[in-house]
Amino acid sequence: MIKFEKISKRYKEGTLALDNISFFINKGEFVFLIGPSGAGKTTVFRLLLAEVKPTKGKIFINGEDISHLSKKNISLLRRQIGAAFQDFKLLFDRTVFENVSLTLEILGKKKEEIKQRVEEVLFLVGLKDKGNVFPVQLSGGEFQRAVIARAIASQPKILFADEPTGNLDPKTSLQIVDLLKQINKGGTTVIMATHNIEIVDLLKQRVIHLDKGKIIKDQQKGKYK
Amino acid sequence: MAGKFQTALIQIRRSPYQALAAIMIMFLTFFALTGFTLISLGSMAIIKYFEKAPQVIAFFEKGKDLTQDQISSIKNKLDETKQLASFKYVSIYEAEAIYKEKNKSDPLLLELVNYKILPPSIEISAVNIDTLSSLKNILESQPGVKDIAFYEDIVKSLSSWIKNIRIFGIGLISYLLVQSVLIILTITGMKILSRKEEIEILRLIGASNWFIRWPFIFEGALYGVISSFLGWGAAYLLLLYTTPVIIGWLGDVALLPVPIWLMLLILAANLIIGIFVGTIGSLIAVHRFLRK
Repeated sequence: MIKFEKISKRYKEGTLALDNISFFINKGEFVFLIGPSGAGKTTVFRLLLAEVKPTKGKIFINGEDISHLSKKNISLLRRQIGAAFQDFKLLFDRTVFENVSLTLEILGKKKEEIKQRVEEVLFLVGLKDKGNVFPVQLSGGEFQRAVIARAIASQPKILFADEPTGNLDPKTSLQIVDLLKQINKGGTTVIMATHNIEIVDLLKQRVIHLDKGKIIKDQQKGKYK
Repeated sequence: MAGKFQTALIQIRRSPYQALAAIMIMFLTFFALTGFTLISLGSMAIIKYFEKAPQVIAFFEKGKDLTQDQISSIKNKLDETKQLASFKYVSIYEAEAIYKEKNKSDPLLLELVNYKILPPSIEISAVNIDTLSSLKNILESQPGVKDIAFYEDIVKSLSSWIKNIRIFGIGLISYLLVQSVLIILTITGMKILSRKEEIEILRLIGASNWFIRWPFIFEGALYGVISSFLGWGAAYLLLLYTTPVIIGWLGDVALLPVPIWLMLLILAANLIIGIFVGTIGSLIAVHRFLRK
């Protein structure tokens, strides 16, 4: 489903974020992307969303090379992928409902359809009564759930979650991971970047370990160390 | 589309002062546009009135009608020029009737004047106002002519004034239209820059360029619609308010009140120009600021 083929990424200022990495992620997999800050985890996400282009190598999603897409095709690609960003990227002047409905509006869904789907998703992430509140009125865990709700609203086949438990307490972190597992059970491929040792060790899923832009470990049912 | 229009309304609500500035400036444009359109149409009607009215009147000896032979002879000489548009002989009795009609409210004037002291006259107009002078010369040379009233200068000077007013109007409106486009461009540009982060987020979750652009374009078009309607409304109110004064000024020229269908036609034209100006301004802005 997702294939990185000898990918290197060097930013304009000279930083080598990824250095000749290759991996393959199957449909329906749950993969942890781990490593210290600056290891290249966020660059992997940015490449998958075609936010940046690889310096070398090719990236395939469902067999399609996404390394050098046109602007129009980049939009189409992003509509197929759900992304929960490290810096959330919620719109603060819109309610939770409006934030979640955005992805469906972009897909051109009808108003009734949007309403129904957003309600379903908010129920799934446990924010059924928070649709009319603004993001600033949410707790840390609720905030992250809202981000995930927006990411999955369009029922994407792939979900990226970049540090979704970053600032959360252990209990809330577990709830978020449970939610991601639930989404994964529905058939969605989930890739989660994290620093959270407990969660990685507890879930025993595939772990791709990055360090200084290289893959130093890629284990099925892996652990953080 | 309805969703994007709603987004445009939300954008306006979020920055009411920018919206107000855009509408107020564009309002002036459409107020001037409606005003000059009315002046232009009015002046055309005034010119037509003067062109249709007798342009040369020859007065003969008071209290003594011309014979039919004299009238025919004068008409034949004028006809030879092939420039005669109209010819009318006004007898002393007709002159008395016209005088009485005009002064029916003043019995003293009616008592003092009768056909015996009024001159018969010949009223003519030319096919082309430029040939009026030669017709006047023919008429002037006829025996018995005591006085000549000649309107060529009035019509020519009126035409010249109206032409200048039109040129000034077109110049001013063009300037205001360009200014309106620039204002919309600047305000839309400011809005795009202030919503840069939001636009970035929309792009990251798959929004196409047009999904992002449409609300800005609707917003510009909406400013155009609102301001063109307000500009038209204000000009129309001013016209209605000043109608009695203008009617007094114009005298016999039947120009007012302006028919409602004409005002609606001007409104439709204003709205079309408003949408065009607003859309062009915002299109340039989105093209310039959303390029990436």
